[in-house]
Amino acid sequence: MKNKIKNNLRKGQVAIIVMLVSALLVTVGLSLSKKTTVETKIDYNEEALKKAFNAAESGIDYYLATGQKTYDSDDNLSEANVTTENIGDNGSGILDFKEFTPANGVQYFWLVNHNDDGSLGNNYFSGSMITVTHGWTSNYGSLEIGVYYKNALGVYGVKRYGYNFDTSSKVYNFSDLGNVTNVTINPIPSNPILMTVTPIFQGANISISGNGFTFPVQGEKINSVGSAGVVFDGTQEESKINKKLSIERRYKFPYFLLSGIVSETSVLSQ
Amino acid sequence: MRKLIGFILILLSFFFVLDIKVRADCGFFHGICGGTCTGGTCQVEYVNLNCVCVVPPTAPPPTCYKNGRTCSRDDQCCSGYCAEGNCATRPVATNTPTSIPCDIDMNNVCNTPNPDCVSTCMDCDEDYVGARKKFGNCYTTATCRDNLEGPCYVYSNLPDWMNCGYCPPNSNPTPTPFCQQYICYEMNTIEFPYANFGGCASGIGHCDNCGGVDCGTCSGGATTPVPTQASCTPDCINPTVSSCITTTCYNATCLGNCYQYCYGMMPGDCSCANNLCSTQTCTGTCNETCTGQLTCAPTTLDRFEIRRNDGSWSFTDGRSPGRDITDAQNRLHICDSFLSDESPNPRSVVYVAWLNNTNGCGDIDANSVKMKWLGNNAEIAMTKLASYQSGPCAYTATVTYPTDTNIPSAQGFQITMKSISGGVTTDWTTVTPDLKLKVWNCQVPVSGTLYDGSSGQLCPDGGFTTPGNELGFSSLVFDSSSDDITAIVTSPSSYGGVNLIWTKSYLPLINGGIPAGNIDGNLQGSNRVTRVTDLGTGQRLCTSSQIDLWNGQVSPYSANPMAQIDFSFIRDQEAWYQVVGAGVKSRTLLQYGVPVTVLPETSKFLTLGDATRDNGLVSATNFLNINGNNLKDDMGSPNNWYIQQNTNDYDIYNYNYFYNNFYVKAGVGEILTDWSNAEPDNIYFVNGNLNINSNSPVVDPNTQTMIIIVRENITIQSNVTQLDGIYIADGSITAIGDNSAPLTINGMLYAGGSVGLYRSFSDKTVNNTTPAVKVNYSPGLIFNLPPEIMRILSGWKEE
Repeated sequence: MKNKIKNNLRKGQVAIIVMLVSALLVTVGLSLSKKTTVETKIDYNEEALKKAFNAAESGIDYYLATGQKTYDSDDNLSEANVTTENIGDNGSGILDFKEFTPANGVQYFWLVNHNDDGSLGNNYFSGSMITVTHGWTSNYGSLEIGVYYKNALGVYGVKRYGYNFDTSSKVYNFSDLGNVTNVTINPIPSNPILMTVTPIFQGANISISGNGFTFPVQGEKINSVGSAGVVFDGTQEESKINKKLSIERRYKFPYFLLSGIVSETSVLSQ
Repeated sequence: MRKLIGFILILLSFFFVLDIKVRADCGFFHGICGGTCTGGTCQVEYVNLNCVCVVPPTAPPPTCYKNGRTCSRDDQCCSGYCAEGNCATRPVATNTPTSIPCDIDMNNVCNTPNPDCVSTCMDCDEDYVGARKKFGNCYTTATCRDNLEGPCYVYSNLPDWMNCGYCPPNSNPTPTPFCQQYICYEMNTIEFPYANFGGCASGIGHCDNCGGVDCGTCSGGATTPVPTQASCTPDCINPTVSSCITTTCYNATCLGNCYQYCYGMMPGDCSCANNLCSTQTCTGTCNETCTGQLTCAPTTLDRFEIRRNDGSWSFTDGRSPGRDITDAQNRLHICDSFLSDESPNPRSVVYVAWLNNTNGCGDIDANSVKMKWLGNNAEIAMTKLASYQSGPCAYTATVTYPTDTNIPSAQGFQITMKSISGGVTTDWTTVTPDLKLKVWNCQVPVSGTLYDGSSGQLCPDGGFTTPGNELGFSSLVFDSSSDDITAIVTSPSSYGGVNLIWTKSYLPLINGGIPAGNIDGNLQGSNRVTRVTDLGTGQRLCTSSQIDLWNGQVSPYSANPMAQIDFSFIRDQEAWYQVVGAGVKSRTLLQYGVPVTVLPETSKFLTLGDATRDNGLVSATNFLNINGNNLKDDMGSPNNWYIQQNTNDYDIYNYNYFYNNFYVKAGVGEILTDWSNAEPDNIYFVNGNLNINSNSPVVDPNTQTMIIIVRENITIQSNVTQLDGIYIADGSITAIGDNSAPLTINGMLYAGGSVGLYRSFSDKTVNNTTPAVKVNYSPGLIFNLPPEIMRILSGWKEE
């Protein structure tokens, strides 16, 4: 009697198991089928995005290389439109790149225009003074400022200024100003070309003011919108993907060119 | 008849003869002095009251021979005796001399005619019967009596027939007058005690024959002696009358024949003054003050001189003061050129004493003139110079002092001399002028130190602080025209163990230096400054290279002249570099070498600004001035900015960055394989090391640029004097070697590794003032870069 019951139980278990496995297999099969469908759709979008991105990037490169603001990909499946905007004070007389300059880094404020080819122009900042704002509200540091100019004889020169804004962290023999927000360079040399500002001890959000006088264009911001489209077979659905990239092109040079000798290890004399 | 007369005459003669025989000798006969006195008269002598025969002297010769002297005046001969004044007018002594001794001749005999006598009747002795005796004391004067002077005459036991009565035999009867034996006294004799007795009336003398009651005359009768009143004629002139005058000084008195006071006639004897000077006195035999008979003059010193013993020594200069070369304190020393240079008599001194004597030079005892130098107190006889004996009288002595005589101080002189007249001696006295001589061995111990005066030399202290241990001092020779003296080097910068001769000149030669050339030899320093310190006086002064101790550098009059001779040098500085128009930044160590010796002072900085370019910030984590000045006051001018912290940007630029951004992307630049092919206005890439062995092409920084970017190291050889451009290396940038010209880099240097500026001047002394490497910051090189590489893309944003 007992053996029979066991046999009956064994057969029931098998049926249940079979049913469960069948259900599982059906579920998996159905999901795979769906994923394939979705993935197909995703592939198509990513591809378009990639193309759009590439187009945007290429658009910038193309612009940088040729000056042309429209770009079509070779396979005509993507394109890019480039727009530019000047980087400057927008007539406010305040140059603020809204960027953080780390300690020992250099912020460049051009005081003369650049020609289209990037060479220096002749439109110099006409103000006699420039106010430099460091943006510190606490943890003040020091600023080393250089104003490069070209005198009437065509000789390049530089005037340098140093200020301590903190009472403890100081550069020896910089002028001690205390916790003021800015310092005004007055006068600045005639035919100024460039003002470099290097924060020391603390990074800073540096801006300058022309005290009523505007500054030349500092560069250009290049915006590129790449577009790439795709048509789905079967649905004939057309989808376009846009990708916007922007980049700034300003005029800078390595910091070490502000000094006479710079070594990333040591300067030796013996 | 004739026979009778003759017989009577003969008989009378007989009686006269008898009478004369009775009176052959003088004596008292019946109280009368008489007798026979051959050639003279019998007289009572003064003192003993003897009746003696006094024979008058024969007439003296015209000269006063009695005392054997010749009177200097004709009227001085009085009765054969030299006397003062005219005999007739000789002063007459008064009867009361100024001082009357109580007993003039101390013979217990009162010398005055009327002595003051006090008598007292003696008590009767029970064994004595008779006239009551009288005791009495006689004094020359009442004053003598009152002053309790001793009596000059005491009489006692003399029967006194007056006032003392009679001593009866053991009974006390009332004495009854009775006749007593009488004694006649001569008047006014000592034995006659009754001074007040006026004598007998109508008679002379006094007789007493009745116990003091009578007073009768004694005249009459052959048996009654008739006392004769002594008569006396005072005579103070005739020495036979008043003999005392012959033994009495002319200025003293004596009692003459009548007890009168007579001035003596004995002249005073001033023979004691025979050998005395007129300024001296002595006491003569008559207590007179006798003045010296000699005209004496002391010998005095007019002037004392020190002269050098050379062949030209003489007096012909007329005692010129210039012959005594002394200092303000009248000092001279044996090493002075005045005394030391003469040849062949060094250390030999001639002393000259000029003496005065109002009696002339002949009155100077030539053997008495002596001098002594107080340094050894040796007496030295001075010799008379016969040729100079008119006016001041010259005496001289020559002394040679041994070389080992070394007395620490200048000592003076003394002199003594004597005059012949009167033997007047001038005792040891300091000479005039008060000259002093120091005799010493002329040797001056010397020591000293070499100092590093690179930080500045300003005598007497500046530059004499830091020992010059790095000068490489090894030897020092004091060179002179005769004997060179080698010093002992005792430490890297000190020397000693040497004695210089004070009189000589020396040229110190260091490290093998030569007199006619480089006196400092191979010493690693220049610009010698010599300081001489007189250790005796403390005086310090700087002098030329030549040492002349005698020329005010060392006082010879210090107890032990010693000198410290120090030298200050500007140490040959290590080569150094300078940046004009910018700063210097090192991520770690920054070595520099601005020396303190830079001239002008305005150039003594690591970074300098000029008219168009301000100097900039100097930063590193550690600073080291290899030439010693680590005060950090020389970082820059006008901006002495520095910070001991890394201020390098976080971005590190390397060859690949520039290659990719410039060469690849911007298409700017070219590969350089041969430095000689470099041209201005280019950007060169060197894919490896760059060995720069020639000057770069000239780049106009106002219009051109040049950048050299090297993957590995840049080495700038010693022959390169100018490089223009910006030099960038992933490895190191090194300037090596020596050159007479500096290396000028018109541009900038940037290295991923170290920047080693080891370049030096061939003549290291030029390093003292000039940087061997000068980086002349040229901002124009930046602004003349191709704009392609200036335009940097940043700020990628994806929207």
